[in-house]
Amino acid sequence: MNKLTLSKETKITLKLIKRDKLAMLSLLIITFFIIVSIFAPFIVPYPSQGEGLPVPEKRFLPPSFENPFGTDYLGRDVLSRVIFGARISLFVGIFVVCVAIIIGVPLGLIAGYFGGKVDDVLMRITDVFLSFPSLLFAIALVATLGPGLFNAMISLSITWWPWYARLARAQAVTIKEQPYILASQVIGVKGLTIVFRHLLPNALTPIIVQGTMDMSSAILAEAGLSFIGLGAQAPSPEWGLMVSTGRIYLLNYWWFPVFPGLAIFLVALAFNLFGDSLRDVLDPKSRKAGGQM
Amino acid sequence: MVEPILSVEKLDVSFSTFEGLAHVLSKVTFKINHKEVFALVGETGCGKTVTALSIIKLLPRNSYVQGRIIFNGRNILELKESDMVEVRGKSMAMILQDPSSSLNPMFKVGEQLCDAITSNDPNIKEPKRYALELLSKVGFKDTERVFNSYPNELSGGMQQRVAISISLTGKPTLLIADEPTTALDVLTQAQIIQLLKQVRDTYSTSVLLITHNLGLVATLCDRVGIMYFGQVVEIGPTYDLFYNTKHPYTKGLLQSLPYNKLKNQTLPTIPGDLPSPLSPPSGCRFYPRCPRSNESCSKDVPEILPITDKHYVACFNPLSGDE
Repeated sequence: MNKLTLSKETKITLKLIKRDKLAMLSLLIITFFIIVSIFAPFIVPYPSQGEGLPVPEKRFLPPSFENPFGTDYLGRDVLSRVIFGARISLFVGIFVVCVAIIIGVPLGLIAGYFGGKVDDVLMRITDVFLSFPSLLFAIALVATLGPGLFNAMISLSITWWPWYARLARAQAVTIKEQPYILASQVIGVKGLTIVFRHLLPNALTPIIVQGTMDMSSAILAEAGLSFIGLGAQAPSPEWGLMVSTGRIYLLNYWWFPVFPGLAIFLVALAFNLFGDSLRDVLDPKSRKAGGQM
Repeated sequence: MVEPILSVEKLDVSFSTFEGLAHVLSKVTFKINHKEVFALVGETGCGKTVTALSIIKLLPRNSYVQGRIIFNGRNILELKESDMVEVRGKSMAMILQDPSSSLNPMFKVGEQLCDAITSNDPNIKEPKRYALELLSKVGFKDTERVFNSYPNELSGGMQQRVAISISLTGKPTLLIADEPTTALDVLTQAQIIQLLKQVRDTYSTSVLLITHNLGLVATLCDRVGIMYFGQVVEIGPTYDLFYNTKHPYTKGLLQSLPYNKLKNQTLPTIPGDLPSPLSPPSGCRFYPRCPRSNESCSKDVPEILPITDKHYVACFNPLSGDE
């Protein structure tokens, strides 16, 4: 539908991303992890071990041709488990960020556009959430809901939407001063229609950037919750959980905790870097300067 | 006599600011008749746009409004916001100053036009056909291409014509044009003026034209109101106002037009600056800058009174015809 211009826009965006080597590298890592996690059951050497089947006779084998990342304390192939873990981590990251955006952005836009009492009420509610350190708040929530992966995701979303509400409100406050908003008011467009039809698309860029960067924090936070035993439960191949159970073996059998830890590090880094360059690329000022980055 | 479409009576608007109450409009009174183009002229900051925004009831929150604005027999100032949404776009529409920023950059012209059409009348089956028809009415030949363009792909004049077509979707009885040609070059200005004339004739719309371009006023308008510092100082038919000027401020404005001056003559100006709306001068608001002021000017506020049956002026010492 938007063939002509949108493709032009996309072309510029792609060109700018291509120029940025770090962005390309991080995009490559992200795509790699996404593909790997989609096809996990078909590409891992030992699918059943990836899901948690113990093989007692193969405990603590060092990395070899058969087990490239070695095996863990139950004899399971670490490579298979790390790849299965990618599914969980990516899903968690996407879920948490999406829920936070879906709750936070509309509230923030409404608060920013309507102002006055609506703004006061909505923003004081978000302030209540923001007044707790988010990870601590998430820990308290999971402890109440009961440990588990799903509960961990829910509580992370609950602690994160206020940041998006704040961001969206700031956007709405600036954008509502634009003449095209007045122009739609004078032809009698109703308030909520203006918010979702006119404010939302124009406010989206920083939200996308923030979302990409938060993806890494969400994965880290969830791994953290799993590490302290509040997130995913054994035998789930969650990375944080694997690091947590493997940490006592670090000196003797380093491959068991190190490879899942490396995976966390790589994914978090990739999302962070990508978000960073996305911010540069989507900023119209960097375009006017011919995209010199 | 026929009832006027819009009648603004003793409109006072003030804004509360950090420095105090700013009295921006004071007893603004004028009428707009059916199928009439009425111009409000004045220098920057004299309250033209505030007048327009109070008529369409979109003033910022920190404003205090007094007086009456009767539109189609109803007092706009007493209407609830939910009723006002029905008035805007349907019986009253507005064209803004800068067309390049009054269209949403994210959507195609066609989408915005169709949005406006369906928001005014959700029952229209083929909004696109109506949209194309509107685009051809505002003078586009390749309507399909314009329909599929983004605002940034159009020139300023084209954008303004699109904005006008959007304001026409509800067939309004009153069109408020807030400096519609300020951001455009002279040739495009002429086209937009032609278009506004045409709109007035085909839709029998009354137009409130806000401008500081007296040339535009002379070509387009039936009647003119001159504003100075939040007050309407003179109202009259365009011809009378240009050739039988009564108010010293109007005369000053007309004299400072650069058209009929010789090269080496200095252009006459009105001495002094606009006073601050936080502490307006007592009496006539123009007296500190007025060449004809006397003592009474600083004490009493002149009422706007008829000189002939159509020509009104707010001055204690109006000019006589031969000056």
